[in-house]
Amino acid sequence: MKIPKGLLFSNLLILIAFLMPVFYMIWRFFTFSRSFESFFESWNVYGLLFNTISMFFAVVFSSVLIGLLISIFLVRFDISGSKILFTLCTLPLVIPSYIGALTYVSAFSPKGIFVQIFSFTGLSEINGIDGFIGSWIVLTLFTYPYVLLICSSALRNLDSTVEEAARSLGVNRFRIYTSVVIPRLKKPIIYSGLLVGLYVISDFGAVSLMRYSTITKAIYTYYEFSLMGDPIIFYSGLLIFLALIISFIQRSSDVSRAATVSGTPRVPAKVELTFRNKIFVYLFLITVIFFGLILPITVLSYWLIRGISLGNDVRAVFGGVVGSFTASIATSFLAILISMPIVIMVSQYKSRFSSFLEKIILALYGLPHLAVGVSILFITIKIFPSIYQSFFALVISYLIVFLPQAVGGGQASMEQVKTSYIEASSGLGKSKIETFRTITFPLIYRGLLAGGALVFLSTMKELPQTLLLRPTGFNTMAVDVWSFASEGLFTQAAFSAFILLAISAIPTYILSTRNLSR
Amino acid sequence: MNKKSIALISALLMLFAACAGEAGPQGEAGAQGESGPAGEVSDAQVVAAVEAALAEEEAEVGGTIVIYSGRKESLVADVIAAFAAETGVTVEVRYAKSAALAGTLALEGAISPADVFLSQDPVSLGVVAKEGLFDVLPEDVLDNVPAWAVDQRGYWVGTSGRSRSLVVDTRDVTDAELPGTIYGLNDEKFRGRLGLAPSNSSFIAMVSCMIEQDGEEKVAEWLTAINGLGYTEYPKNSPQVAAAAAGELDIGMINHYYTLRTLAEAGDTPIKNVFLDGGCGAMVMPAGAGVLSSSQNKPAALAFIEYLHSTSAQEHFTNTVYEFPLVAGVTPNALLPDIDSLNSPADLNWSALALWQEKAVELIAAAGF
Repeated sequence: MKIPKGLLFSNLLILIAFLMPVFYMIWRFFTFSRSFESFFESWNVYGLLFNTISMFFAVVFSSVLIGLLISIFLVRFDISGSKILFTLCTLPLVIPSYIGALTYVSAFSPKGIFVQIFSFTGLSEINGIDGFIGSWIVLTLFTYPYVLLICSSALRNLDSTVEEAARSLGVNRFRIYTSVVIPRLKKPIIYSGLLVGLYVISDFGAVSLMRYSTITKAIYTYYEFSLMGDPIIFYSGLLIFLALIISFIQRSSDVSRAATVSGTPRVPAKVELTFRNKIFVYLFLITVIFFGLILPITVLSYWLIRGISLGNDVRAVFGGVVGSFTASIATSFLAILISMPIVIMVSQYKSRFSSFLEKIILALYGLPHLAVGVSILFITIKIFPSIYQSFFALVISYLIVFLPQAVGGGQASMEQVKTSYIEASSGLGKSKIETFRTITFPLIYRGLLAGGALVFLSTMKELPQTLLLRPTGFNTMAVDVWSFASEGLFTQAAFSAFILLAISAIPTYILSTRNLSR
Repeated sequence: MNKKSIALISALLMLFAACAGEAGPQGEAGAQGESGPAGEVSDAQVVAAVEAALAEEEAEVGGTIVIYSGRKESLVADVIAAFAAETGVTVEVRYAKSAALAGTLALEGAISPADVFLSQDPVSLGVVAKEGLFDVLPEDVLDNVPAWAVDQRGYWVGTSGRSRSLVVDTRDVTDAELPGTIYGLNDEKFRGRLGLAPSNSSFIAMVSCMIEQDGEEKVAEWLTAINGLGYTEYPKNSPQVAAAAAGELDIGMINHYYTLRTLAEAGDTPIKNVFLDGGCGAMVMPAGAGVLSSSQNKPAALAFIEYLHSTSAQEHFTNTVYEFPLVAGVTPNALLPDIDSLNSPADLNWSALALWQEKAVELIAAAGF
């Protein structure tokens, strides 16, 4: 089918605009005033790369381990209360890493809450949790739910014929998992593991509060030192490069094609556990839920109550609440609007260009927010000074990284719009616009709204881009949490953190389960 | 070239000329005069002109200014609010670290929305001055403060003084074990006991001073050694004081005033300031401000800087922030030591230090902080 000119034009425009941060980085890389080697000599690049990559492997390993174990326990074994346990195990997903880190830093500082509680035992000081260990713990706890959601859904759809064959051949239960089940889950494991990995290398809040030097922390440190162009651009470019590699590998292990079977999968009977093993499984699940959910919420509540009893002014967070809502509403509305031509093109006019467009938009999802923020900062100063420090530039920057979520939502529902409907409509003499209004739009608006809601929540939690690009006097809850927490003013950080969690908890949970397990 | 394109070009030129006229400080009045055909001045215009003239007599300044403040909101917000209330100027403030704002200003150049740069350290001010982004301040404003606290070329002026110091936890640190200069902190006995804020602008200023006084090599060596000893990193100075008070940190490299604030709130806190015997670790430096050349509201920007020299602002700085007042006749807070008893390196040239800022950042980064 021939692509309408208007559609092609608007999509080309979107593509160019959204790739600008990447183009800008590439251009800057070719125009550095110093040699490439000089960065490696004098800017501690190896050290930062080593720290970033070791964190990547550590968190991916531990998240996959925890996520996969919980998936197997809850899907394959007969555990009473498995539904509620599943929900509780996925909920840490709603806690942004910087809020998670805030709770751990404040609870386990050398003389923090933990020491105060156990002071009756004579404990007076501990080695605080920070650095590599702290970042590892926090990032694992708040990313393993991605693995859990994706792997458990794959596991549910996994045909059990092969397993039963193996069992009938006398293979023991442990071997069945290591040599039959897990190898067949390879694709969802790689896919979700790399999703976690992308999150890890882009994460800024947790590693900063934990004082662990990664590339993101270096970028922000240089931003604070002074914006002396080269190093900050170099690190941002390096980070984008890393993210694109990971994103590329991740896309090539397409989860939707993983572990498919012909016909309906055979669902195996849930395995009964011995009493001893059951206790072990419950203990494991409760430990994970305790550290991923109960502990952070309890610590936050503690700071909140202490803040109120100290008479902190609750109205101080008001500006942040208004800012967060304004930004989130504007971004999600625009995301829905901009995603429409993309969704229509990708699903209705299949061509080489449309699949290219789809790939690019999906790759944007993996772009590290901080690096995109740096790029937009330089672009607005150097090329578009009229929108520098404007709300508009901030929203553009959000859109670049969150648009894929809106496109994903629209695409899912667009699959219901069969090409034959459109053809029938135009055969009946209806104009393109009328066809869109009466046929396409009614079928896709729910999906678009769901995508928009996802963008709303992501914007609400966004931190690094907001820090770099916010207009003078503009504030969000995420910025409030961050700036108070980084000064150690936990009672003040708790107010905004609590509101942020309360607003995003329920819908994030519903949306992420639906979106990811699709 | 046809007639149409000539007309288009001349129209564009006229538009350009009009824009250029409006951008210049004197251009506005001229543009207003030319706006209507000669002789046809409406009543409304006359009324507006009279009102404007009257308003100018009542308060010389008005409009809006944007302040880039490298000084923390909790330290200056009250002063800014008082200025806004007294003058009627609408003030927007962008808070960030001084070094970050200096870098931002250098990058923004002429498009900067800022009118005033308020910095916690002289080196960040020097970076902006080096880029040629400040206007020279009037003599009478520069003369408000002692000569050591102004830029030699008059691009910025000090607004309060602060000294580098060490905050020590008196439960764990004895006076005898403390060194005379900052280099003495490179000692095995301080392994794991030090704290610092590598991205703090005053810390960068101190390192710039060290490079100027002692040479790049010695500073690089010291930074690497301090990193090797194991240190606790803080995002800024105040958490170091809190950590020392909580018994989590033995020695922190800070500016003097947070310790005094903590002691003023709770006098029995077992911490104290230690002022070193000499060298850049004992540097006394001004926090200061300058007016940006790109400012669209220079009268109000200058009025703000003059306001920072007013008795009420100076008293705020010394009695609430615990800094040294710089304007003669304002009594320093009783908790402050005599500024003349401190051993700051003599005759520091702030613009020379600014030239080392980039190198300082590079050395700090290369040492692995």
